[in-house]
Order: sequence, then structure tokens, then C-alpha cells
Amino acid sequence: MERGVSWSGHERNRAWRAVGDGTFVDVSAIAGLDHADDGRVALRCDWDGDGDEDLWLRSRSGPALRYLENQRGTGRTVRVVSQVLVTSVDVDVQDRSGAERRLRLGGGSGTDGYLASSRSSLAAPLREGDKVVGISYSLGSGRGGAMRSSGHLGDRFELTPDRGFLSESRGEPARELGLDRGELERAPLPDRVVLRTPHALPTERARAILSLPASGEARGAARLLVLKSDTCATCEAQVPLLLEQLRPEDPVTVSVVSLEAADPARVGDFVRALVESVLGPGAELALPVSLLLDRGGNVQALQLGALRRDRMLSDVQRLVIAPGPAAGRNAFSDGDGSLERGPRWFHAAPRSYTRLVRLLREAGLDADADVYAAADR
Amino acid sequence: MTGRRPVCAALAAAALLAPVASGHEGGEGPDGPTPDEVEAFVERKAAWLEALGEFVDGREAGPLGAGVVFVAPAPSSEEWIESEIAGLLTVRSYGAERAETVAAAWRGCFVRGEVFPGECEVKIKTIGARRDAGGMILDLRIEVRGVEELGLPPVWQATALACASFDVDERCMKLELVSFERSQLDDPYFVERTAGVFAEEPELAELLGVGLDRLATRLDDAALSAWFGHQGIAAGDVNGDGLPDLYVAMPSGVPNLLLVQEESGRVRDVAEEHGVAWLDDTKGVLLVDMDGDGDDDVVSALGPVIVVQENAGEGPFSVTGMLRAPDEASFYSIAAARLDGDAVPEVFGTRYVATRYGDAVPTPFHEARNGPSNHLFQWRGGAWSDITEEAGLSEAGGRFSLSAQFVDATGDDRLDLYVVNDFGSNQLFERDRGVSFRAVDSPVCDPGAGMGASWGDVDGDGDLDLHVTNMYSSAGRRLAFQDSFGEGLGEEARRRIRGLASGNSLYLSDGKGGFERSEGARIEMGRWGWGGVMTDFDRDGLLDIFVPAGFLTGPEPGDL
Repeated sequence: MERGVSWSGHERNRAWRAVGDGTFVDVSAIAGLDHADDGRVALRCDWDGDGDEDLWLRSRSGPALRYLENQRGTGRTVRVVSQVLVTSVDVDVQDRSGAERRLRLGGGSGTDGYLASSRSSLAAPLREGDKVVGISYSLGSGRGGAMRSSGHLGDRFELTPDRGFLSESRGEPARELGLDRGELERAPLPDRVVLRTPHALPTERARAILSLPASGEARGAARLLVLKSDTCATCEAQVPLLLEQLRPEDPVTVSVVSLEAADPARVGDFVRALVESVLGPGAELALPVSLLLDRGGNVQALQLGALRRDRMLSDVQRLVIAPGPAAGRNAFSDGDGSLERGPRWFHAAPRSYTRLVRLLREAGLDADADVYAAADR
Repeated sequence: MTGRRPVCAALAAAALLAPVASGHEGGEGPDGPTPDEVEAFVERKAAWLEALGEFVDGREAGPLGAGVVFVAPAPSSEEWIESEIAGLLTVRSYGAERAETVAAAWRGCFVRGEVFPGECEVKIKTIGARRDAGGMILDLRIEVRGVEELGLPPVWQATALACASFDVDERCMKLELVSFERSQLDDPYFVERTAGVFAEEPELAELLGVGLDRLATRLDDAALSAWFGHQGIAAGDVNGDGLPDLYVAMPSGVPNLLLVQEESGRVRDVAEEHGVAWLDDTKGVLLVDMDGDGDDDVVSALGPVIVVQENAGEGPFSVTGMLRAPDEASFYSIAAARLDGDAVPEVFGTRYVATRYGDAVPTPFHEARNGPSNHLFQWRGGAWSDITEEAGLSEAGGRFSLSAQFVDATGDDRLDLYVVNDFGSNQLFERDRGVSFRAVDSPVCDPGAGMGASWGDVDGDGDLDLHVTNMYSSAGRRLAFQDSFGEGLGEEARRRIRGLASGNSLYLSDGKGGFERSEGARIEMGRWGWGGVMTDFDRDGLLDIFVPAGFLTGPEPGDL
């Protein structure tokens, strides 16, 4: 699989329609559901509020998310939106002949399928002419409530904890959303990678490629190491532009290393091994490759390809100058410190250099490999 | 062909109308082919089957060549079954064919006398193999679908089962049709509007349009959490406006998304604002009321810790609980239910692999016990406690569990626990009282390679039936059913391994804890399915079934 072949790949999603006699007919393609992505998670949800259940689909390949709107506007569904986790919800339905039957809408945890959860989606289809004449819910152990009427109670209900009973919510109009059709377009790969754990550069290597002073300190808060090639069009266009845009007050020093000018220190081989060790097998590299280094010479982010001053400065601020709680979260610890959240992550993630050591050895950079092998020990 | 007909009839009965695992045995005594012989034979005949596909899709106009003979099925008392319900025209046959010429019968199975007005896609899978009179018989599953035009799904699709018989010198292939099913629908039940939903969030659209498999090549993630794509999704109402919102779990290095629905149906991501944009790999997620105040709180399985965050309305949702596993194995699915009567639901988490995905070898393969443990947590005395053992759920683990649900499966007004296991039989734990469970032996303890489960009243009798999503493997069916397969494993182990390739199951409930496997539903072939769900596609009052499928699609041609 590292070579890119599939394992049960290109398999289309499946859908079966109930015939009514206990059998099902395959309608995968004609229903509009047989995408060839590696499907994982299906979530039922009346997103557009028209009474039927739409589907959200998560997949591994292809677009990561699809909203599939059920467009069968006719027909009826009895639905209960519950604010509490119930044991069960039952609906008594009377058909045209006056015969009654009981439908179980569900209950329990609201988890469904695989990795899907929709606790509020309790629904069951109704047949033409059906009347809902009773509805009840259970919280288990005999607790619960019920409503009953000789007439039609409605098709939509709410169950709230404070009132403790079912309230009718009849005739909620369907919204005309008018959402554009279509899937998400296949987007280009992101060109920037924020590292989960800062990646140390060996001191000697850092000095060699950055011409750092003995103290190892860079001017400003951060340093951007840009590896370019004289034959790379993007490099020729982007790197001078970036240098031109930089202002004296910018808290970053930019070091440009040309592959053609690089000495036997073989900076290119080193950086390629480092990037591949972070991104894993099959990583596509694009020049220029830029490493954002903090004051201690640790790589905080990788940039593959085009450079942008505004985003670089944003990363410097967020990852180097003020790597405090991201996403508005408060840092916390659960007491023993083992789960104390780092500046960007919840779990500590010590970096393993095993792969990098192998890559460096393969490139003949044994001295650097020894540094990382020692770090792993 | 008279002598072969019973073999094909057996295929019809076993491979179509009933799951293979329930009785179809492909090997025929000690002279049956070995798995290696089967695979070598299938490989040698790949070109023939490719030519058959070209005949079916119309690229090859005539019979396939001198070496191919079409054989019509035997006359049968069964006739075509035709039905039209809510715009869906279905034609089915299980053993009958009325076309006058054999080749026309074959093509007629797919187009029914009409010329299909566009290109179609044909997929032929070999799902069985056995020796017969010195030659070999392959059981084929032939699926045909039109291709999309103008972005619309095809209006037509068909599936046939057939026997391909080869004589000893392999120069003649006789094709016998066993059954077929063809359906037509002018307007699809579903239309995709994802582009519309994300119209005001172009950056999110771009992120989600990358695909997790490709995104994995841009993430600092040694565990390849994105590459396998096991990130969940939850619907709820986090801002109390009555519209459903989504909480979307993301892999390591990409913040989770909390997508609040606007009145327009479009979304706005408020994950950072509410402090749920975790960068850690997140799998199972819930939007449920965890404190009894009536709003949806946020629960996230972040590696081996389940984090509970209280919905504070505005601003960051504070962390009110960290439910920790005893080791580093990640939680996959999580489920919450009110078991002890207080306002704080109990939380159950399933775990799959002890190390990272793909590293651990289940032992024994068909009924593993070396997977990580699953855990039940209860809010007790102002803190979360792991009560797995005292709740009687110590056995609920070790089997590489992917999913779990609390559901009243036994009809006693108490929520029970159903656990779906990949490398072991699924488990049903009946709840006696409070939070005390006991494992029960039930038909729903499905032996397949379980991925997910969905409960719904599929037969409309007032109780919840069960659909289990398992793995269906064509290769598994044609190899594991040879007599020489797994010699030395023992018959029970061989039977169980065969079950791992059997596909999806449907169990009908009697409302009192009894379940019966539905043998004729014809929902087995879900490929490598994951989280199948039951929903009514066409609002005809009947629950239908949708199953996401596929494991790992790579950029290069070829499949393992």
C-alpha cells in the first residue's frame, strides 16, 4: 500500500430499498448514493427540516464530507426531537381502516452505524392515510410519559426535560433552502504543515546551514530557512518577492540556501530526509522548502512551495512568539500532569526519530543520523 | 448442462437468497481445488471475464468467440417479478428467463430489450469456485450501472449471478445465468448539495475537498490517523435555535469543526470560539446533554481520553470531565445513555487496537481476545469513575471493537448494550438493573467482521430490528470455502473464518429479546462496509438501508 495500490479500494457505497415483503432491492446507483469514495460514516439527520431524513457522509478518499439531501418531498415521517436521552419512543398509528399499530422510533444512545451520533433524530416513516393517535416515551424503570388522542396528534413532536412531556409542534413549515447542487471540489494539497512536536536540528547541522553564531541565537524571534533551486520557477519568482516584502521590524530572519550553491554539507539531502520523516512515505516535496525555526533551532512548521509573508508572520506569532493556548482553550491539567496540554495539543507526543535515522543513513549522512539516534535513546 | 444445474441452483439459493456462511460450501470433497489453484485459475481467466464485461456493456457486439457458449437457465415455474413503487421500477428473477435466444437472454437481463442510451460500467467479481467433472466452475457476480451524465446519477442498474463452467482443457466457457435484478428510477432519492452548504466557508470547503487520504501526506502524524479515515460526526443543536448542527471530528493536526447551521442551510464553523477545535486525532464524538440542563454538550474521543465539555452558550466550552483509558489505545466509538437515573449519562467507549492501526494481529483471528479493553464511565460523587468491572462489562473488550450502542434490545424497558467487534463475535449485554449487565447468548452475537450496527423497526411490528454491517469479501468467499483451506485449524475455526467474509446481516426482533436472522433479505453484499444505517429513502413507510463501503483506495491501479 505504500506504493499506492488499493486494498478493497474503489468500492462503491451500497443502498437497498425495502420492497415490503422482507426483501430489498439494490438501488445504490439510481438512488444517488453509490459514490466510489472509501465511505466510513453515515449520519441520518433532517438537515433541511422538510420531514425526511437527509444523509451526511464521511469518507476517507474523495471529499471528506458530503451532504446528500433527500428530495422525496412527498410522504410523511413522524419525528420526535428529544432534548434528553430516552430509553424508547413509541408511536401509535391508526391506518385508514382504523387498525392500530405501534412503531418504535428508537431511543438509547442515539449512536448509529459507525462513528455517527444523532441523539435528536427519532423518526419513523408513515404510510399514506396514517394518523398518529398516541405517542409515549420511556426514561426506563417505568418512568416516562404519554399523549393520546382520538384524532391526529401531528407528525412532529418535541420532548423536553423541564416539561417532562411531549409537546406537539404541528405544521412546522419546511424551509426552502435552495442550496446549490454539487460536491466539494477536489482541492490542492495544503502547502504548509504545522508540526505536532517541534523537530530539533542538530547543532552542528544548524550552524552549517544557517551560519548561526556560536550562541545559536538568531536575530529576531524566529528564522526561516528557505531551500531553493536555481532551476525552480516558483523559487525564482517567490523568494526574491518575499525578501523584498520583509520589513525591518518583522521578527524573523530569512536565510536562503541554494541547492546549487550548497556545499558538501549536502543541505538538500538533509532537509529532504527531515521532511520525509515528518510527512511519511510518499510525501510530495515542492520547492522551495522552507523551515520555520524557533529561537532554539527547532523546526515548528514546514512550507512546501509558494511563500506568503502574511502567513509566515502569523505562524511566527502563533507558533514561536506566543505559542499559548490555541483555539481559545484554557490550558489545564488533570492533576498528575500526564495529560497536560501543550501549546497546541492535548496529548504529549514525543517525537520518534527512527525513520529519520534510517533516511539519513541511506543518504550517507551518518553523523547527523547518530545525533538523532542518540536523541531517541 | 443438466448435471450442472443443481450446482448453479445451489448458488442461487446460497449466494443470493441466503448468506454463504449459512450453508453454501464451495469445496467439493478432497478433490476440491486448493486456494492457490483457485487464484491461479481466476488469474488465467481474467481476460475471459473482461471480455464478458465488454459483451455486457455492449462494446463487444456478438458472442464472445468460438470458445464461449451461453446457456440459458432451466425453465422454471418462477416468472419475472415486476413491481413499480413510488417511481422505482424493479424487475427480478430467481431462476427464470423467457428470452428466445440465449445471447439475447444475457443482454436482455441487463437492458430488457431496450438499448441503454449511454455508457455503462460493468464489474464482475468471482465469488465462488469449485471443480466439476474435471473442469472448474466459477460463481460470478455481475453488476452493471449506467454512468453519470450531467452530474446526475444513472437511472438504471442491474445485478446478475451466473456460473461460468470451464472444461478440462479450459478452451470452452459455458455461461449460465442464475438470477438477476434490474431497477430503474428516473429521479434519484438523494441529490448532493455539499457545495451549497459550504458556500460561505470557502476555506473549509477547500480543507474538506482535499480528502483525508491525501491530507495525510501533509500532516505530522506518525500514527497515520488521517490516512485510515476513522473520524466521526455528530448532529445536535449546540446553539438552541432548533436547527441541527454538526460536530465533525478531524485527524491529528487538523482542528475539529463545529458547524452551526444558519437559516439558509449553510454553515459557520464555531469550533475555535467554543474551544472544541482540538488538534489531536478525534474519532467518536457526541452532542448530548451531559448535565441535565437541556442543551447539547460536546463529548470527544481524543486518543485514549474522552473529553466532556459543557455547553456554556457563548465562549469556550469548559472541560468538565476527562474519561481516561488505562493505556494508550485510542477510543473509537463512544455512546452515552442515562442508566442510573441521574441527569448525567454514563459513557461507554470502544477501543480497537492496542498499538496503532494495522500493527496488532488479532489472536485468534476469528475470535480475538488480545485487543484493548472497552470501558464504561459513570459520574459518581462529583467525578468520573471507570465502572466497567462492577457493571459486569469486563468481557466487553479484547475483540477489536469498533462500535457500541445502548438500546432496549430485550423489550424490558431497560437499555441494553450492543458491542460490534471486528475480530470477534458481536456481544449483547442485557441490563438487569441500574448499571449491572450480563452477557447473553443471542442470534445477534453476529460472527462477521463487524464494523457498525443500526437499529430500526424494519418490519413495522413495533420493535427494533438490527442491521449489522460486516465485511463482504469475494476473495474470502471463493477461498475460505475450499475444503483445503485452513487445514489444521479445526472445523469451528474454519466456519468462523468463513463467516468473516459473509457480509451484512439483518436480524428481526420479536420484541421480547428474541431475534431471527433474516435469510432472504439480500442485503449481504455490502462490500467492505462500515456504518450502515436504516432510513426511509422514498417516504413509502418502509425503512431502507444505506452502507458506506470501501477500505483503502490508492492512487495506483491494482488492489491487494
